[in-house]
Amino acid sequence: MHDSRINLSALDPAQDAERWNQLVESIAARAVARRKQRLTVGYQLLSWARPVLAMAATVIFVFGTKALLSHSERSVMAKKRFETAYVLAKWANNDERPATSNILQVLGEQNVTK
Amino acid sequence: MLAKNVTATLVIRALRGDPDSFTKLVQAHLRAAYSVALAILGRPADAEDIAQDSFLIAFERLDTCREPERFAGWLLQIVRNQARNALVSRRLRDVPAQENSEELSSTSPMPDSSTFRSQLLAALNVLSPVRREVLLLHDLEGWTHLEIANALELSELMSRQHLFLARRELRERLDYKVSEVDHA
Repeated sequence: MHDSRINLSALDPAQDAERWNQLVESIAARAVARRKQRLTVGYQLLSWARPVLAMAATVIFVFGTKALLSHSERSVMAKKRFETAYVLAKWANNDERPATSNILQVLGEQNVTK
Repeated sequence: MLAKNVTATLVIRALRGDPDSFTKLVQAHLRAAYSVALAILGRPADAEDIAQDSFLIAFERLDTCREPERFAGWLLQIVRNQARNALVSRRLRDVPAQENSEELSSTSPMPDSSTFRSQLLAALNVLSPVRREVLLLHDLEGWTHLEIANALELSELMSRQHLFLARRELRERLDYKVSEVDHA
């Protein structure tokens, strides 16, 4: 039964000791530099600014969309009211006697839009 | 591998920004990180990149390491995740480099196939990832079964079994070309 250690030294990344030590130093130096960067005021502000800006953009989008929609609803309502007033004024000017169904239709539409 | 209390002290000092502690933690764990990455990726160059990236990620998230004495296991989990992501990206890219495909395939024509390293990598690729991890951590990195069991969240018995089967498979694959050394 073969249960002794297999010689895997051919795969040993630390065979080139100088290169390996340089790699270790480089990783540690980068980690320290990143950590220092994270502790700077600018980075802290930036890390706070990003979520705050994202939240602000969401709020503006939601309320902006709502305002736009309500504005267009108001425009439609105003247009209908104007049309009703125009029809009524036209009847009055021309001294017309509209049928009851016509009156109900015009005023009924107005009631619906209220 | 460092003693648990030494590791915990280094982690705590690193959290305070002590540069020497970073260096010592990298020195103590880089080979293990490389071994785990190599077990998943099968390519030494990729494994080295992933080991480096994993350290940088680990140090950025060091304050989330709840058990500093178990830094090794925590780090190796990051390595494993990074290596698996890299493997998925590599499969999606599906552009194997000439050099790398040699390392992975034992049947492809290999101009470098005479080298023992290439044979070893090709043979390792036949093993399951967990067996590769156990084999590399034990026979390359020199970890004990207890250390492997803690880091890989296995039982010691499973670690021994994986190692036994991995060695047997590797020897069969290499046709006993691998030189053997006695137990340390």
